[in-house]
Amino acid sequence: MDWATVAFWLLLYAGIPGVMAMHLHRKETKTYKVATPMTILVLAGIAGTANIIGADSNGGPVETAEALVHLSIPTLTYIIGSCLAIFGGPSPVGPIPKNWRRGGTILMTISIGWIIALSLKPEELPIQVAALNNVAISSLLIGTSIVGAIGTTVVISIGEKRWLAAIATISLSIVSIALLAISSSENFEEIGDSLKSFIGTILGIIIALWVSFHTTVLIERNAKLPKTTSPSTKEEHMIVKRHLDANIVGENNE
Amino acid sequence: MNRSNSLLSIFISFILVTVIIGWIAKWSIEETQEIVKDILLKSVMSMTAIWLILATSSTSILHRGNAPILQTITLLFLSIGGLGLVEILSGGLPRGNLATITIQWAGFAMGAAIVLFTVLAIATGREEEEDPLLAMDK
Repeated sequence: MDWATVAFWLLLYAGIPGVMAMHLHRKETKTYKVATPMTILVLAGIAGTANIIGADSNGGPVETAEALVHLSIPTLTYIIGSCLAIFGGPSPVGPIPKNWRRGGTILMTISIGWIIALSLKPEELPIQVAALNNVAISSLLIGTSIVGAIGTTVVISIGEKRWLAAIATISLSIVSIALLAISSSENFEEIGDSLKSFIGTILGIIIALWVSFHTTVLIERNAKLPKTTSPSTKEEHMIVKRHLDANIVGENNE
Repeated sequence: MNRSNSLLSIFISFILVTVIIGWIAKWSIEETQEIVKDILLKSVMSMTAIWLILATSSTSILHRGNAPILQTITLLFLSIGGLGLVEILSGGLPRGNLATITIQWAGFAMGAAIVLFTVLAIATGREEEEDPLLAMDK
């Protein structure tokens, strides 16, 4: 890997979480004051290194961004649609037009149609097919099918008779599996690779969090507690007692 | 359903869907070693990314004594170790591997978001409530 590629991925996976954490500091700290300039630097670095690398036939930053944009069009449409479907009608903040709910359902249907077209006939869509479209769509469908199946189990195990939610999640799962089966004749390798990544990612998340948690416990167990305040004095005890007597017991201290 | 039964049903549904998709992807018993090696490689890549993200996002606790600094350095070393393991397992990180796995992670997250928002839309938007002021006229 050349320096630009290393810098790009390092800025993406180390720079972005770093500057996001800097924005969470208290406002009076020096770190918070440099957070915005640092964010601009990191974003400029990402853009600059991606520009230096340029198009890469093996898959580089440009192809990644292209595939992510193509994937986020139907997903964001679906999420916006479901938000409208959630909040349309009577709500705690007052009545919201019920047409919103209908509009939300239409948006959700359109995005499902878009995902079907993206997986079966991407060349028919009005936008150019992304270079890594097969990888993107197979991972989206695998995510939907597995999380949908798990979601159905969770909804049923809650036991509040939310059958409609269970039917919707199992339908999403079955439709995704069907789409994977139909498109498998052309991209079975990408489907297999995405499935390996899904299993590997779940394993990786569990092991990484387990190791991090135990490392933290091991380090923190022997650490000295930071000295923040000195123990309260007798004089302070007397002041508190006087206040309690005056305000709760009702004695006059004058 | 009690907790252990719920976990068991979640595990069974996961295995069931995985087997179906594995069959669609034309996995065979002969390829098991190769598949397990690939899964291990992907899990080490995920671990490396998680440790790196945890280490770099813990800047807000660094001023709270030696323990957070030690913790961040440990996580950084773990992520470097993870990267080394990836190199050993894959025999050199192939070009495009990071792009592919980034897209796959985003795809999984988006797929999960679709399911989550569907459940939310149905569970919260289904109940028809009556406006109390309009109900007073009846």
